[in-house]
Amino acid sequence: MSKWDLIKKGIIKDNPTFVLVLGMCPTLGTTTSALNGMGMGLATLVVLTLSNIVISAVAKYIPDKVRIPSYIVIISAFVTMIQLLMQAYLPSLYETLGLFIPLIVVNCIVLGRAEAFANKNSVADSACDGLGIGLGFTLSLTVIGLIREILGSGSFFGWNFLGADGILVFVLAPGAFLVLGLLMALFNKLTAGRN
Amino acid sequence: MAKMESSLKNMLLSLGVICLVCAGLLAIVNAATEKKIARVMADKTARAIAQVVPAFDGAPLDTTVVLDGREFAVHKAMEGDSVVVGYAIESSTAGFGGPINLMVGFSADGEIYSTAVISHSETPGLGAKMTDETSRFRTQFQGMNPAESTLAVTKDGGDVDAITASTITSRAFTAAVQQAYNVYLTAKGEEPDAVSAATPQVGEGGSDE
Amino acid sequence: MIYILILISAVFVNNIVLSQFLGICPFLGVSKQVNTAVGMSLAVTFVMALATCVTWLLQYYVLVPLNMVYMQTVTFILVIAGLVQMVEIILKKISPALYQSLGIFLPLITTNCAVLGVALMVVQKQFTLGGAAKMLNLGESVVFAIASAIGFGLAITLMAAIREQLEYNDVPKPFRGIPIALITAGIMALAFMGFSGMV
Repeated sequence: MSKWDLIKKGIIKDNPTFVLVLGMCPTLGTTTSALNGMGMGLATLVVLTLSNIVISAVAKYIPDKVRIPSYIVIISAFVTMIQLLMQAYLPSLYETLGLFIPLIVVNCIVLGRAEAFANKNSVADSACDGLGIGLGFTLSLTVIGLIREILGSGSFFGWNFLGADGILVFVLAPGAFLVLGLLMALFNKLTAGRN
Repeated sequence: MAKMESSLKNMLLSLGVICLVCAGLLAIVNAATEKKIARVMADKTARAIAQVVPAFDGAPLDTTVVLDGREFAVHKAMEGDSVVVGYAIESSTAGFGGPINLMVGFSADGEIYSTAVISHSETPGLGAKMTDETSRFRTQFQGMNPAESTLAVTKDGGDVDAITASTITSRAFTAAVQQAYNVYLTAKGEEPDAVSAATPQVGEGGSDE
Repeated sequence: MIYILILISAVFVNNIVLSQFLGICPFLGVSKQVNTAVGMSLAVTFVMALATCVTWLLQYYVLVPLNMVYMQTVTFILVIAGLVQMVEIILKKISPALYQSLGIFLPLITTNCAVLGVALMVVQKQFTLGGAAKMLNLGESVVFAIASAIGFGLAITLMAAIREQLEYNDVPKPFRGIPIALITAGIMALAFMGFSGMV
């Protein structure tokens, strides 16, 4: 597969949200608006790409039995770095995303890619894979956030076009489940013919 | 090159090296961001203070007041060296979704100058409307004198109009303002008087304070 | 009294799955049958209580005095991973029967974000109990962890019971599997919103 294919496949074919159904917690928890979803997606993208690069580079020096704890330490170190940098330079986004930033550590996507891809592929390929999956994740979160924001608060990337409140329930917890469920069904319907 | 063998020595060695390298890197990043993070926090408090008291000179004088066994931060806004133009007081109560932390400002004559929300976890679209500074709910506190008005929502017989469909949040907000007023009186050396010191009940859980 | 408040708040009002969005992966993945759902909840309860206890002590007796709070995430996740391994080994030795029923869930728990989430929550967030906002002490933290796990168990068991029934229904093809589970969860979350404001 070429580098471009590696990046591209994360967006539709191996979309982490709609196809692999991974990382559901941040997908539901942080998509109250398009910008929040995008922020979470980008934070995950950075961690995923960096951890993929480092893990693919050091994988052969790590004995098999301590593979998982080693990956977890590497991933959590990157997560903490992102956390500190966000706290310093993007404090308001950091406050909104709250607990979900440190929880990137246990996002199955990150460990999943380390285990399924990075530890048996080259550094460059792993970087592309991380970038692609990260972009797919960011895109899904932004779309879900955007739909919830339009329906729930009547605004578009923070710009209130309605001049009033939307259907509140979409910003609240039940709306997250409903929107994701319906979108996933739509995605299934649209991609059904392809396979 | 073949994979490392899973011998005990190799396992301890590789895990140990990874942990050390990560800890070292984090210590560096932490050292690099520590000051900036502290400044971001300080800026936030400073902005909230500036927002709730009349214009003042230099930096506010930070003190603490103990009331009912709790410690409250009181920031005195000074003009020159001796004239106090306002008090900014941090208070917190239990809202609908979690703690509501406010900065409440009083002018020298005991009127509420303005209020600012420091942090909260109220429901978006409902209780979170309290963060809208131009809303009727927020502006009604400006210029209110707690010595003359009753700080409670109208439902509880007070003078504060609650946010529609968010009575618990409105009660908690009002209670936090009352709490700040009690601290203000203590800070000025006056005892909170019996009438206004009766903190309104917050939610069904009640208050142990 | 305060323990009862924590319990009600964590099980119903702020249900960890339906209102905090933690532990969604096992909630969707291990909720096809009631039996396995119950097994998973028991394993989670055990690990969550133990993990929260250990991480709380680490936070206040090691990380804070050493001024190394930035190592929080790294140490917490290592503690959880280690604990899960330990529980697995001990269980295998002491009670093979219990290991048979819970064993398969244990490796899944390391990446259950609810465990790390609760451990982080008790040392980062202020809780409002009896009108005032404060940090939880050790006893309250452990009760909160157990209560959160019960909330998780309640949500996942209810979900499994509903999904067992769904098996017999004619669900439109694109909705089969995860989408219908999510929509069911949405309706459950809507019902659980009725508890909000109770504590």
